[in-house]
Amino acid sequence: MANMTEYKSLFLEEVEEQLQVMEEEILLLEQEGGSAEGVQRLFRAAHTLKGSSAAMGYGRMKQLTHAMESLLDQVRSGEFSVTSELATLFFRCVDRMKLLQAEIAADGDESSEIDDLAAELNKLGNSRMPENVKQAEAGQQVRSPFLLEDDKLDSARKQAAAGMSLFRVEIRLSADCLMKSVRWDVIDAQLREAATVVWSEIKERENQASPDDEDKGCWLIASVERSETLAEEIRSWFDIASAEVTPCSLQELEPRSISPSVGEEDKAVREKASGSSGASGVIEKTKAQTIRVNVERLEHLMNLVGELVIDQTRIRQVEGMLGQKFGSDESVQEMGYISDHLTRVIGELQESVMKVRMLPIEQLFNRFPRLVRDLANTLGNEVELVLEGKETELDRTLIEEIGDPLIHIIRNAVDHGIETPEARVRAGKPEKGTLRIVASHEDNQVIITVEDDGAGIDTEKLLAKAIDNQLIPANEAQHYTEREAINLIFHPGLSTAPEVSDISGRGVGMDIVRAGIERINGMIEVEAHKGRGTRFRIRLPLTLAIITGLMVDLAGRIYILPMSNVVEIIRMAPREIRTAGGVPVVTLRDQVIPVVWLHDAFGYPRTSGTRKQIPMVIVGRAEKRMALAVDELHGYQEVVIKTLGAFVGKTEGISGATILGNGQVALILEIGGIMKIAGGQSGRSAT
Amino acid sequence: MRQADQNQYVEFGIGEESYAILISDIHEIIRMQDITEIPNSRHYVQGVINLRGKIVPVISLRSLFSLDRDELTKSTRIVVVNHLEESVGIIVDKVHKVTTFSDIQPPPERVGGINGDYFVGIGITPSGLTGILKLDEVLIRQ
Repeated sequence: MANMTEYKSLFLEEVEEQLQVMEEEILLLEQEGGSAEGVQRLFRAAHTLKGSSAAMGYGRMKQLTHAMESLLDQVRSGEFSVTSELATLFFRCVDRMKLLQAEIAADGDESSEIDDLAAELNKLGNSRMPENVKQAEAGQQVRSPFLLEDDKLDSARKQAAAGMSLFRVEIRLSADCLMKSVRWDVIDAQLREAATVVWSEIKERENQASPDDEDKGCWLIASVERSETLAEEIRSWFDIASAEVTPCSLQELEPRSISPSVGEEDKAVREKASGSSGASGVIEKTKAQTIRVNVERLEHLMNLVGELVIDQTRIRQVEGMLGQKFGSDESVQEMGYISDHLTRVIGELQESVMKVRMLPIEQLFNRFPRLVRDLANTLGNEVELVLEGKETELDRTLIEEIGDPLIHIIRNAVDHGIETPEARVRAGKPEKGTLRIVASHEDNQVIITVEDDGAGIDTEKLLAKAIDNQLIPANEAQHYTEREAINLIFHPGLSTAPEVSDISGRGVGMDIVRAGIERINGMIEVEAHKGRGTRFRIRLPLTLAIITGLMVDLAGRIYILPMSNVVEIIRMAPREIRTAGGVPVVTLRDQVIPVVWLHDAFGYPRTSGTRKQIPMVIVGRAEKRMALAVDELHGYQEVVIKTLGAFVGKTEGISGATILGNGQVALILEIGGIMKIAGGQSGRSAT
Repeated sequence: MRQADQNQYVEFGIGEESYAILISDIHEIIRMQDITEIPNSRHYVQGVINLRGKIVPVISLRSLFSLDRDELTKSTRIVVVNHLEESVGIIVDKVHKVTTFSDIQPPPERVGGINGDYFVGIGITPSGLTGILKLDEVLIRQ
């Protein structure tokens, strides 16, 4: 049964994938009406799911996808168009299937009922199908019922090439015939004697569970006889009510899309038929070849590369030492060449492995249209979502981690940002608000911006609220610049929504968003203009595994500062450090920056106080700047981030560790945590 | 054959006392390493070491048991144990031997001034008493 669990996880992956496709397509259909290809893709997704859930024995999922498929087929044949009613119903189906998916994943059983949805789907399908259409469809069904698999089609072609004519034979049994399935067998055998049978409906039906009690049967045969002669012979057999033999051309047999009631029993044929019928078949062929790889294997590979990077740095150091000792010795030079080459190869290896872990952000973006649609519907807003840069690639762990913060920002934008249509018209803006989410690469970073053209941030309200909640003293509030005031939204426990809604406004919003982004070494900035909109700008590293770090010396210990946090490096004489309001500060280009002694934060004695010049690293977090006083700067290098593990747990101010070229462990500093420690020590937050 | 049925322990000394850990819990025993301290962590967490490319935290039993500070000598060792799928190093003064206990008594409330919760039991050997460490308690997470 171990195999079964493996199949199950494969199945669940497929469900996940197909549901995602469905959701996208439904949205597209709703927005743009049903394009033939769109309906086709949706149909295929439903069909694929139906097939695999049937194979895995998940009856409810199968039933639901089947009902969707039938309805879609009617859409495909143009019997009715896509309405928002239909889209909503489809969305509910997708949601229910997600529920089923979760249930299957959790305890392996489907427990949610689906009968209500299936009934609705069927009802909708029947209501739109006038009687004459049904008949027309029945008629069409008679004309081309052959669903030939490739091998059958090949055999038909061969017979035709050998000079035989193809005929379709349709036989009805007389009403009083008993044991029809046996009779069908006999007739099938007789036909095989009289002609070459290419395809037999009877044989297809044999695979069915229920006994064959149809009174109509169909064959495709090849023969040199004329159709009349064949028909006459067949009519002479027992229990035959009628027999039709009609000539059939090869073209008629070529695959095409088929009506739903026909091919239900033969999924493989249907899939092939619908696959090659439209452009989608072609698209699929041109898709890049991919394989699924377990994430753990990739993680392992990444770890190994990380160790190589460390070793390579060590080899470099040894090489340098040897060079000093033995100078121009031949083998030292030789080693230099080898080490150079190794450096290049490892560099490329590292890059390739990182690329393997990269995914287009599309994966995440694809969740947003549905989210925004549902939010807008609930709130009575009208929102146009613009997604750009879907192809931007970043590390898969980052995609996972950035999901929740982004969703939170989007919720805020739709809930608090974009106004109701009436309010927008009053403000002289188009009724429909625009939410623009853009991803792009910039240097070695990924930038994601979320921008709305809503009401912006009311800084006066924000300040008032902050004073109300005693987050800031009233007399300080008037000194706040617009920027500083806007940044108050990141303050814990501050939400400007007048009432708590279930969408946002629980007061635990933006500070958690920021914490989430900083945990993955990212930064978030906000820009807002009252009445014109809000823009969030998120910077993320390309990968979590390896960062460029600035090595600083602190009381004889090496610490790593992520370069993404470093704004500038300066040297200051001790007398240039002044105190403002009890906080030590330095002035840099008219900007007053609080100084934080990392020694104090970590409980080391200050050793650099007696020096002429103190090296300081200016680090930034949004608009906040902070000067970290350190003892020494040791340049920067690539470091492989390793966690400290669950036993050590979360340590304020430290995000992880790395192994340096000399084999020593160095800790990686986390700016957010250091700001907290520093804020706590000086008794007030540095602004 | 009786010997094989019994659990084997690694016995080590801290100060005058001896302690033991189930041999199956032990990953390896290494010499003292350069330890990188972690600021603002629990007092008995001495820091982390680089164990062949892996970051392994190291704790001090002396500190945990509120004894005198570790005195580093030539015989100081780090006993690396596996606990909850993580490796953790424990600094000991000296590793004595691999041993078995013919008799294990339940721990009293206090073992030589140390909270009895840290022990699974007291192993009795001809040469004296050995506190058998309860890793779940010694290596408790926060």
